Amino acid sequence: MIRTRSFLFAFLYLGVVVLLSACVSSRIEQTRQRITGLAKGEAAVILGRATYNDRETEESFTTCLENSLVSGTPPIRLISQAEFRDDLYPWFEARTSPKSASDLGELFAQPGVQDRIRQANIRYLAWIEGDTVTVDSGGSMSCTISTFGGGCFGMSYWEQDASYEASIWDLHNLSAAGQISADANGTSYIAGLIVPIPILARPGNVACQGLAEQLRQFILGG
Amino acid sequence: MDKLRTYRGHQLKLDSGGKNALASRLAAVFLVSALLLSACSKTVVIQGAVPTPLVSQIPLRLGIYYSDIFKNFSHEESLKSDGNWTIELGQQNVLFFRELFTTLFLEVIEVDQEQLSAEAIQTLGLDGILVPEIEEYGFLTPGISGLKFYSASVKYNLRLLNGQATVTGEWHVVGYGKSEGGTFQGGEAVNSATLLAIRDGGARIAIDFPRQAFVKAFLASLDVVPAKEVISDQD
Repeated sequence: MIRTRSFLFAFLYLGVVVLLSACVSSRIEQTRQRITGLAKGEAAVILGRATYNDRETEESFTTCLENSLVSGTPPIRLISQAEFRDDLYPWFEARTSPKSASDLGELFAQPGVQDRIRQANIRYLAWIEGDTVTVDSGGSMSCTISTFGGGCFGMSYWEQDASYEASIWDLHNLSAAGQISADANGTSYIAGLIVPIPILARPGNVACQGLAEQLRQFILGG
Repeated sequence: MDKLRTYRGHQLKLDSGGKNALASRLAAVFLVSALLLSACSKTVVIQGAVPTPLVSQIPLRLGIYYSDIFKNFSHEESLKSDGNWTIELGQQNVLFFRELFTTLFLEVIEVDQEQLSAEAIQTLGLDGILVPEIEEYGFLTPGISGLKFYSASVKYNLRLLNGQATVTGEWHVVGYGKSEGGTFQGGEAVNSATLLAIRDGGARIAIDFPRQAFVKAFLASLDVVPAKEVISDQD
């Protein structure tokens, strides 16, 4: 009896999870320019590109990437973005950071920069560019609350497109090692049937997981 | 008589209960009003990391004058969509510039007035006096800009006085910063954006100050050779 009830709950839980997850389509592409690999003790840094226009890589995305790379199998040793930027201030600020791997030679000639990177044993820099934008939305839903109760009726949806690219620089060779791009697209819905029922697509999260896995393989040289 | 006492006692009880209820209601109204008012006005005291810059030292002995206006700089603004803001950035800016100038120059002494006499400058063994000022501070909320970010900018003026206590040059530097922020994280996002603006301004000073023509001329007048320029000029 208890076993049957457990199965029923598990089935219901699975059903709710499936119902509340909308479809997301994703594509990961990789370009390799150099042979890569990570020796014992070597570290990588994930840096979000900050620009002064209306677009910027969300901090939540780089945090998601860091968490995935640190906790996955095998874990990758990472130096946090804030620690790296503080240690190498003022060379990795939004306005002063190197724009391409060819600028690394000039940067490494600055007093103390090379020593500090060697001390922290940082092998790779991964620059993350891109963001998640809402490309379409529609529908309508209205909610009412009164002394007799309340409820929501209608349906609304929004489509989001997550597009990110990681440019990986090898700090031993002072050159670009390759690029990985991750694109994901999905539509989320909220159906109002007295109680609002969200059916959420999370393309940003899918892009993060896909990019993190590919980045791990790329850095480890797999 | 006993009845009267009981009656009076009863009345007294009712009165006391009524007063309590009234007091509770007033307290509730006061609490709600205070909460609503606090939701409309925000005070942000800027706080954050103070990194030590990794730059070549400029062989100058300078006195730095931080005015009281600079030390206690705060910005007040009333926004239709986002309420009243008070942003206090003076203290953090002083901490940041202390670290920056101590690393950037060979020797730094904080002086308590801008207009030191030439004799006083020579007695202190200084080459000149540097006076940093905040000319403007501004910030934008998503409600105003329509973007996802809070952004901030700080406009600095750096005035350099030589050993004869005369102004040799001034330089305006603008630092920008922006930060993501949710609906109830405005204060945190403004703090972060302002910190980035101070960092950005500091980065420009650390890299570009020795490249300024008046600084080069000042160094030449002292017969001082600055460290070799490695990064090419971007001006």
